[in-house]
Amino acid sequence: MENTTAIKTISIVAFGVAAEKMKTNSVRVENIDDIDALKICLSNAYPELNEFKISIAVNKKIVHENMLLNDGDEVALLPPFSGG
Amino acid sequence: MTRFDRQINLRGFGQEAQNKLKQSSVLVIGAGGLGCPALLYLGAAGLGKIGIVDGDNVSVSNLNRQILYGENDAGKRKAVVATETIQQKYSDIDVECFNTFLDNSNALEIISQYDVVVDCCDNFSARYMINDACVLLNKPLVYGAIYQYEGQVSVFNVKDEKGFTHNYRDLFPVPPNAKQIPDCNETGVLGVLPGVIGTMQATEAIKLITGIGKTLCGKILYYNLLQQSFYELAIAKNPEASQAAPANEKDFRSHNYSVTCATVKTIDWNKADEMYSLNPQQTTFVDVREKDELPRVDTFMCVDLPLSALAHQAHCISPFEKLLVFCKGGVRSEKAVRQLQILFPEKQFYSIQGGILDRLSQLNNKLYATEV
Repeated sequence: MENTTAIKTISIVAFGVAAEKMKTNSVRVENIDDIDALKICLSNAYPELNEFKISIAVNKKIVHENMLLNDGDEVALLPPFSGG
Repeated sequence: MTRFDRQINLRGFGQEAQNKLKQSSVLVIGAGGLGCPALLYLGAAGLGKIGIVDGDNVSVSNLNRQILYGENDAGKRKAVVATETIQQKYSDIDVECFNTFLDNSNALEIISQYDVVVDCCDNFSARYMINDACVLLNKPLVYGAIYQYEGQVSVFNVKDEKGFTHNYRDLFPVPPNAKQIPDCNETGVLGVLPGVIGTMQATEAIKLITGIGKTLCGKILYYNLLQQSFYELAIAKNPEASQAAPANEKDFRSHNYSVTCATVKTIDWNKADEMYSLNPQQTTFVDVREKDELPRVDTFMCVDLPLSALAHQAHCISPFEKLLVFCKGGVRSEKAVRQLQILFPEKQFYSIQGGILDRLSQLNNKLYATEV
C-alpha cells in the first residue's frame, strides 16, 4: 500500500529582528496547511515574534493574503528595517 | 582628460549617459551612514545638482560609518560639512544644503525640485513621510535601510516591466511602534554595512537617471553581511497601502507621522451589527471571554476565542476578513485586538465598546420600548 499521508516540508527564512528573536535565520516546519496556520505555529514556538509586524513572502514573492502552502515552499519572514 | 573618462569609455554608458547625469538632480535625505557613501559616489559620478538634507550634528559615535566626517567635525552640522566637502571636491556640481530635518511642512517643496530622491534616513516616521511625498509627487525614490548586519534596497514609484509602481506602504502599510524596532544608534552597526547599502542606493539612482541596466523597481533586495548573501523578493501591490496613505497634498500636510502604537479601532454594537450585515460571509463576532463566563451568546453568529488561549486557538478566525471582537466590558477585547492585529495584519479587527454588558442593556431597552 502506498503511504497516503505524505509529509509536507516548508522552509522558513527569517530576516532582521525575526531572525534575532528566533535565534536562527532558517527553520523547517512540517505539515502546515497555509500561511495563517504557519503564523500561529510560529507565534507559539517563538512568542516574541508577536511583538512586531512581519510581512510574508512565499517563494520570493511578497503575499498579503492567506494562501495554501505546498511541499518545498520557502516562506520568508520580513520585519521592517529603519536604520540608516 | 576629464574626471569621467573611465565611465564615458564604458560600453553601454558613454557620453550620452554622462550628459544625463550632468543634467539631473538627486536629493539625498539624511547625511548619515547611508547618506555619506551615497553622496560621495553621486558626487564622483558627475551629477548636475545634489541636495543634502539633514538637521543633525556630527557626533563622535557616528564616525565608524559616516565617512564624510572626521574627528574635527564633531558638533558641526552634518548638512553643512557634507555640502562643503562635496563642493570642495567637485566645483562643477550645484550642491544645495538643507540644514534641517524634513517634515510634512517642507517635504513637498524640497522634493519637487529634484529628479530622484534617495532615502538615507534612520527612522520610520521620516521613511513613511518621504514615501508618501514621493508617491504624491510621482517621484522616483531609492530606498535603503539597515538593521544590525542586514540591509535592504529598493526603488519605488517607477513602473516595473508590467507597468505597475510600488512603494514602501506595499511592504508595510502602517508604521510599527517605534519601540518594536530600535534604530542603529541603539542597536549597533558595523560601519561597512551602510557603506554597502548606501553605495547600492547611489548605484540605483545612477541607473534610473542614465537608463542603464535593470533597477530594483518592483523588487526588494536583502543583504546579509555575515553570510555575504543576497535575497531578492518581488513586491506585490497591497490593497491597504493606498488606504493608509494620505490621498492628496492637503492630507499629507496634516497627516500625523509621529510613530505611535498600533491603534485599536473601537465601535459600538449598532455599528458592529451594520458591518456584519454588509458582509455576513466574511465577518464574524468573536467572543474573547473565558468559556465559563455567562451569559453565552446564542442570538448571533459568534466564534469563541478565549483571551487566555488566543495564540493557540487563533486559527479559528482564519476564514473571516472582518472581526468584531467583544468581551464582558470592552477592556479584554482591546487587548485581544492588539495581539490579533500582529498575528493577522491583513485582517480588520474592531473592539466593541462596552462588551456584552452593553449589548444586554441595549436588548433590555428594546424590550422595554416594545412593551410601552
